[in-house]
Amino acid sequence: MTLFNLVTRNMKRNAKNYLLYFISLIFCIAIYYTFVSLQYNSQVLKQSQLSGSMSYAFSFSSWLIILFVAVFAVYSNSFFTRKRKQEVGLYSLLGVRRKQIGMMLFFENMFLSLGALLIGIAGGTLFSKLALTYLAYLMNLTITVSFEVPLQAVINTVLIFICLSLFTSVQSYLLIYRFKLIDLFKADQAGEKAPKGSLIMALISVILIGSAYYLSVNFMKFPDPIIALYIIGATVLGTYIFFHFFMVNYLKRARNNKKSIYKGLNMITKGQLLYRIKGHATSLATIAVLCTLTLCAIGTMATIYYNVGIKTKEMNPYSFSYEKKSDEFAGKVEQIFEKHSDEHKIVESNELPFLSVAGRFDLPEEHYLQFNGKDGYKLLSESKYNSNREKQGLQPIELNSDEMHMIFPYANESQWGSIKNQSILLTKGTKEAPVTKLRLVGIASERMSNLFFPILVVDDNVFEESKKIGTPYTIENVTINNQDNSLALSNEMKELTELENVAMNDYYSSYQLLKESSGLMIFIGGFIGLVFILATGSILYFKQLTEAHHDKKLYAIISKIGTTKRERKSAISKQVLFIFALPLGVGIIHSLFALNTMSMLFDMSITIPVLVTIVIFILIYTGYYFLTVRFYTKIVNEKQ
Amino acid sequence: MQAVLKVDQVSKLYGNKGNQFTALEEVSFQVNRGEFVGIMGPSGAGKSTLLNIISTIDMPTSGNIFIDGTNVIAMKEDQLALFRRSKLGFIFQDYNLIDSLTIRENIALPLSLNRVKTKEIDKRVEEIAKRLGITEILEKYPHQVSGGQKQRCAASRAIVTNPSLIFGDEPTGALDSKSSQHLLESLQDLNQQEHATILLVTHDVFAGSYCDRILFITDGMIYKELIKGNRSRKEFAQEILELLGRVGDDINDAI
Repeated sequence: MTLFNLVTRNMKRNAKNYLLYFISLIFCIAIYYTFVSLQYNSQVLKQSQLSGSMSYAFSFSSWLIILFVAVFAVYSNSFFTRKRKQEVGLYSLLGVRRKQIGMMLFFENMFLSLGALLIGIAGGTLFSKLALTYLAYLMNLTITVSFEVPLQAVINTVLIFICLSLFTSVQSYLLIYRFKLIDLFKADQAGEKAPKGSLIMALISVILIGSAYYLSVNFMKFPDPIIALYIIGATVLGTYIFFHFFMVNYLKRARNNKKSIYKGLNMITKGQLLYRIKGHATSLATIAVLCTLTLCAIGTMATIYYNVGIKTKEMNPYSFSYEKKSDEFAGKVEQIFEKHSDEHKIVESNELPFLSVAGRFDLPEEHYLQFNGKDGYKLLSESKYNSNREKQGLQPIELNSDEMHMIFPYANESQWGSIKNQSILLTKGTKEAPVTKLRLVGIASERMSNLFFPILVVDDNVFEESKKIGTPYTIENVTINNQDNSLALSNEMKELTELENVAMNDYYSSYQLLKESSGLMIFIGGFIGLVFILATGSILYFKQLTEAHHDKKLYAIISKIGTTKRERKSAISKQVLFIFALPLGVGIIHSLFALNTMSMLFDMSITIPVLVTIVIFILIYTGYYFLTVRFYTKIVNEKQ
Repeated sequence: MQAVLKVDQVSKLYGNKGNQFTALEEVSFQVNRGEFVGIMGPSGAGKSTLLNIISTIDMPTSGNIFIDGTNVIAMKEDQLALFRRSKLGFIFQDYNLIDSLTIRENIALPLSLNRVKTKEIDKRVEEIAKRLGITEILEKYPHQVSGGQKQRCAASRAIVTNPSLIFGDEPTGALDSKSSQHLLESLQDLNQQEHATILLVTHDVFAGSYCDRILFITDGMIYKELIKGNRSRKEFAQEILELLGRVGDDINDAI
């Protein structure tokens, strides 16, 4: 039999073991290829406002994927080689030269990797069009995506993965040299000691995690980067200690509870878990931390993406706000709206009659209020403001003739303290003597238009009198339907207002910019997250299957003693559930606290996007769980 | 006398058509309640096949097996599993203890599978451990105790459910002579005091001498039956040895 025959026969026989690794590898390659091809793809780049940062983002994230895939491939490969220790030993005993065995393992792995590479690129090519369409959708771009195979992307992917395959193949080749013949034959030795749990360490882990949770909930009270660092550090450290000590303590306690132990196969489940926990603790903790990281990252991106509309709407309550400079200008605007009336009907429009008046605050020159009034402060009459409030169902405000109320989009409570009761002197022209002095008595951050100047609400009489020293400044607010897709209309308005040198802010431009950046983010984050989930899921799967091979004897014993297949499967399900659910559960709880803090910091609603993220996460893990239970059961039920 | 086990014309063939090998050929015998029966024979005679079939782990090609009057051949796999754990007890050559459980838990396992109450389990385990002299090591793990202690633990696990029939598959095979003696005396004690029915497969004359009756099989058939009667163990062992010698001669004659 030639070496080649041996290699192909081995691969056929081990196909079942290889399958998941093979599929995961194909998937990773396909995603990597997709990213690289997007980096070189001309179509989206041309359309987007952020083409430069986009190609950078794709190249950065493809490196991140490579890093992760490398760790995953090396880990899985060492799993396979370890599993075949005895087979390798047998060849060695039969007198096959070490070099030949090494070559056999080398070629097996090489064929496997090259196969995955070929299928991965083919799949990635087909998939990248779909991905591109999806990206365009996420970024709110209207383009028809055509099929494209960037040669650079293919070359890049092939080169990177051939390097990776060479590395793992050499790793396989070296297996035979790393073990002595006697080691290869010795099955993994039984008789690990049950670990000692330490109550103090268990308590420390609870205190670390608990304090991190407490601080994250109350983060707004002391928003300090050091506190944030502590939260992260304590959570990570606490998680590792938790898995090493708290878990052992818990399982020991559970084992001493005879009532639950002496029930069916519970004894086996808990016994095996405790027996293996030492080897598991570190990897379970790592997976929990990785889960937290992935959930936080994807959760944040999903939250930002989900909140784009809401945030833009907050900042830009109208589709357009512009200064109505003259009747002639208003006519031109009307023409533009008329032209697009098929796609966008005007739903509502209102006019805000401001007075632009010069003046200065009793504040240092560099204060933002001084700066914002350079082109004149915009005065609004109390009655106009109150009628606006009435529409929103708010209580009217009342002002004396020497008082004013300020409306400023970025105003908040903490600023209010420093400018309360400040006075403004209104003047005719910048250097004239003061005419009116007004004291600031209230502040609000509501939006009366899309424009960002501070508005001073004054008593109606003061407003009338100020007409003598100021000039009228009228803002028109227009709301149209289908404003998320008003690219053409928005462009024409921008052109006109720039030409006429008129202040204008539209909803669409802000919306589109945010949508593009957050869409890109969620796209990249989603795929990287997927790679993370697949890799961690596969690692858990491989770990459990390694155990299944060790547990064959155990299950043979309890089968002889008299247990039904159902009972054995239920014991396996419980044991595997513990391994899968624990890191995921810990990761979910960690990330919920982190995301909650994030939502408080940025004032965004997280419920729906985070829920969707977590549900997807749980679904994928559940898939891995059932797959693992199935193969575990199959392995232990095989005849020895 | 009441039959606990009735083996009725059991045959076992291996391989497919044209290349068949008969491991057992129409073997019939019966074991009565309270008997201590040994099955002996040269290696390859079909001892292990017979034990596997009687203990419901393997299926015969033809024939029937009745345990406590029930035909186990007609049972489905799950029924068999439940049957095994309530009616049968096993002692294996390589102990087959579970490494991750303490000796106490190993013994308690069959009872907890049968959903016996916690207090009752503890009581049973303590009783049996005392009888077999392993009370001190109950909280230890299998890798912390000696081979003899392991096998007594396995024996405890086999009898803890008060099974109708206890099977021993070369239980002394991996033990030194002192531990062997200790185990066999324990089994004999169980047989005489508790009237436990024991079926022992062995090729060890010393172990065989503890039995009341020995079935000798060669080439898949029962060759001869030896009965101890009122003789001493030494005399019985002598007869077994003679028989073993004769079986060897027969084979030599054939050549």
